[in-house]
Amino acid sequence: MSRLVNRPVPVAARRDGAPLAFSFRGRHRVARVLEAWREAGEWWEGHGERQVYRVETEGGGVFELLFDLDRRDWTLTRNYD
Amino acid sequence: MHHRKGVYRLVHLNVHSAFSLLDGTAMPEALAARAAELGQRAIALTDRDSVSGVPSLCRAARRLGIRAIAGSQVTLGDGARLTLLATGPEGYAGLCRLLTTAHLGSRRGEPRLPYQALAGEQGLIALTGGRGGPVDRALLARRADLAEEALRRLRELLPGRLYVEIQRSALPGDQALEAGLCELARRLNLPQVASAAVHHLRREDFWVHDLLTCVRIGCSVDEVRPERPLNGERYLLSEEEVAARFSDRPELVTATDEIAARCLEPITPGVRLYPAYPLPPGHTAQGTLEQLVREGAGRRYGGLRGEVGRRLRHELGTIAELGFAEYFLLVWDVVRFARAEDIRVAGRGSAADSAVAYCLGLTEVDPIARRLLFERFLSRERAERPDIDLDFDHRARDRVAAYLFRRYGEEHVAGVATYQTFQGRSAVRDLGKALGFPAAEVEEMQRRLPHMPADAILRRWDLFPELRAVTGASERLALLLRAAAAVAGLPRHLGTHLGGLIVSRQPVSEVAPRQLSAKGVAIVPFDKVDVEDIGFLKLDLLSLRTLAVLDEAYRAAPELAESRAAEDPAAMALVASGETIGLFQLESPAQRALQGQMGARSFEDIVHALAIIRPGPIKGNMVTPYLRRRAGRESVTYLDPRLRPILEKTYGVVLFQEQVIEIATTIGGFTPGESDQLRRVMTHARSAAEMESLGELFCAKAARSGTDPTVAREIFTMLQGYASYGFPEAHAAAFAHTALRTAQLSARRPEALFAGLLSQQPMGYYPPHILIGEALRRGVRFRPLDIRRSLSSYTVEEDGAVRVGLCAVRGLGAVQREVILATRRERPFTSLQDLAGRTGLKADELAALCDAGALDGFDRNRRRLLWQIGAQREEDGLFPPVPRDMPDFAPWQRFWRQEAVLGLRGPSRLAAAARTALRRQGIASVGAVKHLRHGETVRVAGVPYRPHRPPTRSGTVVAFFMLEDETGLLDLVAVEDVYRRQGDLLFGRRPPLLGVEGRVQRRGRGITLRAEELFEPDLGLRVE
Repeated sequence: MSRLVNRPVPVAARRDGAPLAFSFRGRHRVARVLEAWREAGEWWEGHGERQVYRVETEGGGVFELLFDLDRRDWTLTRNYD
Repeated sequence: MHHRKGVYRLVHLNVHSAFSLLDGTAMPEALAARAAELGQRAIALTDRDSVSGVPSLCRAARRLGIRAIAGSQVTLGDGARLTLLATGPEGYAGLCRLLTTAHLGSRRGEPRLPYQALAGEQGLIALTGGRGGPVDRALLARRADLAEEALRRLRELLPGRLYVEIQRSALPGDQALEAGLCELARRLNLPQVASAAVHHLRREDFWVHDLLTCVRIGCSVDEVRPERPLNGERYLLSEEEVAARFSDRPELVTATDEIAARCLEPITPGVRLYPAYPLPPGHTAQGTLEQLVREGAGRRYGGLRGEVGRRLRHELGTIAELGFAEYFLLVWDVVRFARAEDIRVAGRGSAADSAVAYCLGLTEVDPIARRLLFERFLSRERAERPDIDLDFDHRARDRVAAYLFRRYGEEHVAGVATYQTFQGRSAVRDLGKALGFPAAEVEEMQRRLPHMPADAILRRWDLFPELRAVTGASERLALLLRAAAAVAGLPRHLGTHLGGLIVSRQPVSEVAPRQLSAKGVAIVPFDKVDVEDIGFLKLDLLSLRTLAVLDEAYRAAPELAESRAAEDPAAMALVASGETIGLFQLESPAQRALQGQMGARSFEDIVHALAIIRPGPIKGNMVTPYLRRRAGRESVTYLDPRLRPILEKTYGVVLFQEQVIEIATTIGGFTPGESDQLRRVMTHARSAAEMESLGELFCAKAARSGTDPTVAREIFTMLQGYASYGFPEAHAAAFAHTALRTAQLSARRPEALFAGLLSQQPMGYYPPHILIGEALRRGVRFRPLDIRRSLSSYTVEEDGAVRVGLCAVRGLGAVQREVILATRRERPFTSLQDLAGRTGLKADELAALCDAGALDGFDRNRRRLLWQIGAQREEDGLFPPVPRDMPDFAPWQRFWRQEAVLGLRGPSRLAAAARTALRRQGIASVGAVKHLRHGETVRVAGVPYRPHRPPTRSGTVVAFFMLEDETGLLDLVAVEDVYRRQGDLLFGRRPPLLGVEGRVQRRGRGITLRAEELFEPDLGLRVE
């Protein structure tokens, strides 16, 4: 099961762009990236591409983080139970 | 770049072009050019269930010095996809066989290839097909067991020729999928290869691919659908980019090079697959041809003396050297079949430049007398394939095609496709829907848009007031126009070429796939350029309704059938009068206006007239100078003395394609190849850039031969003005013969011509009611439809009156007409009951006949008949007794109903009904305008007819249209300023009657109203 979160979050990232840690009701350190992919945004609305990461934190939680390549900001989109 | 041995040299092996139809955004040429630019030495093309793009890929690759690999991504029986690559011509033949199996063995448009068909095709290499492939699909469904089963099956079918395709396109699940594929490949001992599954040229073209996908699956961009691409990673990547994606497994990139090394070019250039013409033993094709030409020369020229003999020997020599004797025999054979079957046939196009064609009876133009050069048709230097186009009576064209199928075998003959590309209207319709515009708005925009290339809309949007009225400026609209520009010219779907047939020496499926057209005819999915490139012999069997008209007319006027229409002064006088409605190629308003001014005196004048009313000469502003010079009001001057011999006969104006070529060779020193390229660029209205580069070549070469650079530039500008569309002289001359035949009929036996025209509707420029109006003006008498007398066609009766044919009745099909005639031949119809009982016609068909007046012979009271028809008893088909006191329709009702069912409800009736109100507003009738003097101002109103905006050299928009009222037709022109202010009334809102205030312009016998103001008149009609 997953919950939609869709909240901007501060993220510390590696040089290749992958997230290292983020804050969401406390600080989470990324243990590993489970999956990464790229999505075109709604180009017809003028939105650009974004990079999505599904990560497992050191605490064992699974989250989905989205980096907007145009706006260069992070959103926490989902939280998996 | 890493070009050390053993390291990678990327070749893209999974590439979709626009020929994947709405699943790719780039043309094969562009893909090849980009691959070459990126330093890749080969490129494959693997379109969905198609090899349509292969010939153009091969051409481009040859030019660029890279290798083309033919392939296709085929859909298997279970809907999964497999990437197939041909290892050379044999593999390509195998691929064509498989595609034929897939297309002919499945529902049209949903090709499916049975797995088993793959067995035994030695010349093919397969890649597992990516996420759409059978293995990936099973893995994505978490069924590793099924995935392994699928892979084993493919390995058995394609031993030693199967690769596991690994794509890294940044999609969710990529890592798990790749892990599964690796594991299977290792277990089954199969090699792996990297793939980028290219669908567009560059990353930034992603949105076009997404949008086309929406069009393909029928959704709007706002809908989430699994078929839509998720990101822009599937473009033509450079080697560095692919290497970076596969940095941990470089051997997968190297594998692309290994596969490419196994694949040779699929199509051998210059191969000729012409069929052998069946000859008796001991005869050669060339010998037989020469014999036939000798016989023909006897008929045409009375022998082979002097010039005739020299010319024919020269032509036959060229034909022998280029090896085209069999081609001429094949065409001659088709024409002979048609003549034997009494099917009217006429050759058109540049074949009329050949005296051999003339002697064989393929054309009717004497090229020796007209001094037409054979080299324009066929030359040793160009060595291109001859192209003889034949026009047939449209009713018999299928019979001629069937003859070819019989004579050469079903497997050896096929139709030709056309690539239906995105044009302005289709782009707006499809993309507008996909971008979420309301359906009604899309329809309205499409309706109002003139025909133009999809990339011209953006540039010209502001020129069309009627478009602005539909939809306000918005970001979505801007996006739509940009999208239209992006898809301009991309193939949208395949159509069937109306006349093209290929005939092949070996079975067609060995060289090209066969599939079914919408009409159920076997076609190859290549257009006419590509089939010739592959090496097929192509015949153009065109349908020309005018030939059917002539056929019918000569049945009524047999004394004219063999006469020389071109020498008949009555025919010429009619053309010169400008009263040319109903005449082949001479009836459009522009032609009528021209004839009124020109006063044609000779056959040559007609040839010129046909050539001058073409977009080319019109756009080049050549009409007025031509007329002025011809009338001696302007002196004929030449930019260069060398132009005189070329342009003298057309008063210094460029009218014919042949003249363009001659100028290019004489002044520009163009080689035959370069001249031909110029002609192609001009006739296909290709890009401005291409034209510009030819212009530079022309000026440079002309300067070298001592031409003043300014003069050279001016001459090229003159040629450029001509660009886009002109006739070859031979073609114009061939058409002029047919045009004068119709003119002679109209002058001497108008009833025969108009009966023929009305029987062959729809055809020509005008609807039936206008033709009938013209026929009446020319003194033709009509007799009403009568179920006891009318035939299927309009027929000329013994006293010269025309009996309306059953074909005029709307709602009565050809089958019903045949039933009526066959039943009547047994014995005449005596009553409604008799007619209905013996023919079994349905109530609505009987009602249509009644309203059309065909049953008046049974009972003059149509209302009573209709009541009876409506009350027919179901159980025994009997009509109940007639109520005696039922009154008939009022005369106007009878008339109105009759005109409706005959399709004659002339819109002009509206003008008649509103006449009193119009008169009160000071609006004159069209008939009255014809008595006004040049320059007088007048207000008229009528139904606008055929509004159009032809191209002009300056790019300004001028609208031409006609107004029709109960007194006749009037030609009008609205110049740019009027059009831009009020064009919406003409092309957009379209009120039932359009009012125009304008100034009368007289030129010769022609009359035009120059519109100054358009308005909507008050009709004074009350709606009850």
